Amino acid sequence: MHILLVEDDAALATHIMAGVREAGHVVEHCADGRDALVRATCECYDAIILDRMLPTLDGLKILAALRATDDATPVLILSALGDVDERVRGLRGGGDDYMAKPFAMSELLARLETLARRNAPVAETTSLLRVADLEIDLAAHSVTRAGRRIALTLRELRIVAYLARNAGRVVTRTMLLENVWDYNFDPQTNIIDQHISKLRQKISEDNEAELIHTVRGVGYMMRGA
Amino acid sequence: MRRLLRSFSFRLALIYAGLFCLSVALLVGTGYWLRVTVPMDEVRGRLEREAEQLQTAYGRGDLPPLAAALERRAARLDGPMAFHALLTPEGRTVAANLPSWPLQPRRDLLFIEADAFADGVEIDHTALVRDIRLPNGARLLVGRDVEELINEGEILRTAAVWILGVTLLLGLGGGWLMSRAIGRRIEALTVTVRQVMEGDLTGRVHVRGTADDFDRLGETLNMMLHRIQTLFQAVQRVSDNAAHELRTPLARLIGRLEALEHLAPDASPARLAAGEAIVEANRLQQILSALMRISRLENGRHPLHLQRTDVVQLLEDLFEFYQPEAERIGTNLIVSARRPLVADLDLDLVFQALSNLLDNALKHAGAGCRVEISAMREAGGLVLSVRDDGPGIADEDAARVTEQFYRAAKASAVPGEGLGLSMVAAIAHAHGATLELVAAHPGLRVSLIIPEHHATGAEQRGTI
Repeated sequence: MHILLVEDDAALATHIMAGVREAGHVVEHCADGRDALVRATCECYDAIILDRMLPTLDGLKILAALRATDDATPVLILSALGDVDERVRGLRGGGDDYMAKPFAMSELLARLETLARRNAPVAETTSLLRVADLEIDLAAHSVTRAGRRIALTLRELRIVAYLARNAGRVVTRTMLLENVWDYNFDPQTNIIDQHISKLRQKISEDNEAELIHTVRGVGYMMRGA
Repeated sequence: MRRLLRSFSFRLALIYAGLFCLSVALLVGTGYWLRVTVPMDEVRGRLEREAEQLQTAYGRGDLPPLAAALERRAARLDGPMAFHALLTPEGRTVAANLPSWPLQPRRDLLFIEADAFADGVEIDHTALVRDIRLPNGARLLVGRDVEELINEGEILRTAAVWILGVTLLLGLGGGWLMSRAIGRRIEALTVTVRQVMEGDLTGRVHVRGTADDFDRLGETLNMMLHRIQTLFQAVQRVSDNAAHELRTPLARLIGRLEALEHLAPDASPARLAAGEAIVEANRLQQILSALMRISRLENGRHPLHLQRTDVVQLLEDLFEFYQPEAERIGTNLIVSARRPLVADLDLDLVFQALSNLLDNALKHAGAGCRVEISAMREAGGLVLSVRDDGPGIADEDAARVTEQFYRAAKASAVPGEGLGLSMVAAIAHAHGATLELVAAHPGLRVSLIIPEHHATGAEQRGTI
């Protein structure tokens, strides 16, 4: 992936670039708001990581200017303004995802992956998802594994669907919380883990292969075999 | 009315009116004593003396000389008009200028109507009469006219009633006016102070410009408020900047630690240590976020997004979120609420608050316990409660658990930063709600009581 990083803090930028490069992406960096806008409109990136508080131009202004030119490049806003309101402003302003500083590199990478994919033609409208021998029919609200029907609650269905859509990619706990639950809140305990473990019990019976894998310290990943 | 009676200025006015009435009463009383009581006593004394003299001079002799003496006494003009009546032991009248008298003699002084007619006009007289039995058996009544004194007494008494009545009315009316005037100005001060207390530091007392006591008080208060606002804003700026400035370095720190973890060989002590350091750094970040959020909520800078909410749905979502965890630790989680139950709430905030409460209940109650989330409408408003039948908390802790970083002594074994309830308290504050911790015997019941009428008020404050 070709990624543009807009971040004025040099040390943090170096760290992010190192992480993103290590994950196999090409990354360009710029520290100034105007410069960033010029580059974003001239070149074609797969995703943009955008800081909010920049010299000369606010990140949200860059975003607005970018969206005004019908540019749909996925933008991940990265900001020290982590409050719910700021988050909502960022997303309403055209951001595709919002992360508060400080963040874990793994979380950033996981989000970048899903962002870039979201832009790909494999639209979210697909109602049939398949991972190994697991089949999810969203329209019919049914989940089957190797022909065996699995009874799931609506929430469990949403978790499975989200994981399946991002099959092969890491999904962090925060991402699950944001995408599967309709409340914007911060649970004090890792309740998500309990939901996943229940889900695992339902999906994988005794001798079936595990489909939901734990990525230590980061989150989960769904993949066959 | 009770409010009026409780008002300090009205009580003052009441006392003032009371004292004023008392002094008027004293004045009128003295007048009455001088003009009526004393002269009446004089007449009484004179009658006693006259009766005494007549008795000694004529008491043992015949009646005609006494009758002559009485006629002479009546003709003399040396004081109030004299009255008399002399009767034989058999009851026959020897001499009299009193129109009537009681049949039976009395020992004490008595008043007798003694109206006279002169030139066809009735002249009122009232006689104060002494009625004695002479040693020779005759009955002698001697009296003096006290009509004027009695009239004067009546006039003074009527006047006293009127004067006191008017004084009392004036005192009460004046008191009411005074207390209303003072009360209004005190109320204005109270309203401003309350407004400031609720987080709007821009509130100022209206000063009339008359430079009176209240204006001076108002000006002083305004100066104080201005000072507080300045200080508060300075503190705010510092803490905002601090929190903000801390985030970026913290991000860098976590980044470096992640790099370190990555560089260290698998399963090496260095990698483990780096992993632990990352966990600690993340915790630090969570504390920072929570603190910033609490501070924004507490000083009313976090706008509320009120929306019509199906409260039962909210509880069911909460239940659904926590059910797997409750199952894991073996706690029986119950929702008790009945539709329809709709209220204007900030969905995310209330969910956060209840989530913190539920989290606490599950953490502290432990296995085999029962945790109940309930919602109901009561007189005070909407009551959202989380109740457990676990060990509960000590009374001295109950008052302090909402303080930031406070953790009850016996909770030290349970992980946590001591910010959960502070957050709940801040969310309650933003909703104008009260947070109540009640021992449920066994266990603890924590309730958020959200007043209905406040919903619109909170929205207004949120938009400032």
